[in-house]
Order: sequence, then structure tokens, then C-alpha cells
Amino acid sequence: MDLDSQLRQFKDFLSLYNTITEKCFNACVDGFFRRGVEDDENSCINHCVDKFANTNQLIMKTYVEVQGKINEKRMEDFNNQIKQQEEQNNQAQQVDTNTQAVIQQEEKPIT
Amino acid sequence: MAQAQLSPAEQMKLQMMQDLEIEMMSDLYNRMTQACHKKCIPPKYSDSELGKGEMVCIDRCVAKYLDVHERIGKKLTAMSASDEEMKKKMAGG
Repeated sequence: MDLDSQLRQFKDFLSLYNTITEKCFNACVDGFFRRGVEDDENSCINHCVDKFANTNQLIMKTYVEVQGKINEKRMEDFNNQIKQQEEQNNQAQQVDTNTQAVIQQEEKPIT
Repeated sequence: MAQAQLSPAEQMKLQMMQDLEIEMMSDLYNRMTQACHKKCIPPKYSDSELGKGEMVCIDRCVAKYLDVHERIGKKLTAMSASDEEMKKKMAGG
């Protein structure tokens, strides 16, 4: 792994760490009777961190799934568009040859 | 002394890691300030001095915030370690 992506990963990890601390502290700690963490706060923090991780995993899984489907649909739409355009072009060419034939037929009696 | 033995690239990396850590410490400090302000200082500004209760609350809040940070750090390290192990097992078959 190169230096840049390693640093980025480290940075992502640290900012995630700070975010989780903030979220779980705000959600779980709501009484300042002593300096240390109480037992119920501790279990709340454990649940909070686990839930955060599980949520992230589920979001990533769902995102990959849905984004894949969206990409498939986009490709399908794109191909359909191309097909439609080709058909239109073919029709236009046919009309072109038809009108030319009509013109030639009309021109013949005069000569 | 130890730094002189490192290659320039390694020195640069170390420098960047240290900068990052300082940046994150200041981020942590800002978040903590906000959280403790919100939890300890009621939005009634009848006095400019901190009350005794507010002081005690802030003292405990800062200590608790850092405690929580440490606990979560340990937990995250353990989680990423078990993740790595899983990956290794998966890669090994």
C-alpha cells in the first residue's frame, strides 16, 4: 500500500474514532456524579459502538446492492437509447430512398 | 538521534502522522468542549462567573469524555484486530 492511501486510511480511522466518541458520549453520559464512567454508561457505550459498526456495515452492503442495480438500469437505458436512435436513422434512410424513387418516377414521363 | 537514521521518506511520513494526530487531538478537544458546554452550562446567563455546580460538572465531564474516548479506542482496536484475523482466515481458505 502506498503512503498516501495509508495516511488517508489513518485519517479516516481517527476522524471516525472522534465522531463515535462524540456520538456515544452525548447519547450515553448524562450525569456527572463522579469522574469515572458508570456501569450502565459503559454498557450503553459498548452497545452504541457495536451498533454504529453494524449500521455502517449494513449501509455499505445495501449501498453496494442498490448502486449495482442502478448502474445496471442505467446501462440498459443507454443501450435502449442507442437502439432507438439507430432505428430512427434507418427509417429516415428508407424515407429518403422512397422519395428519390418517387421523384425518379415522376421525372420519367417528362423525358 | 533516532530520527537521523530514518530515510527522508520515512521522516516525512512520521512528520505527517504526527501532524495528523495533533489535528485530531484538536478536533477531539473541540468536540469535547461543545459536549461539556451543552451538558453542564444551562442557557440562563444570570451570572458571568461559573457556579460551583458547573465547575464540578465540567471537571467530571472532561474526565469522563477522555475516559470514554480511551474505552472506545480500545474497543475499536480490538474490533479491527479481529477483522484482520477474519480477513487472514478468509484469504488462507
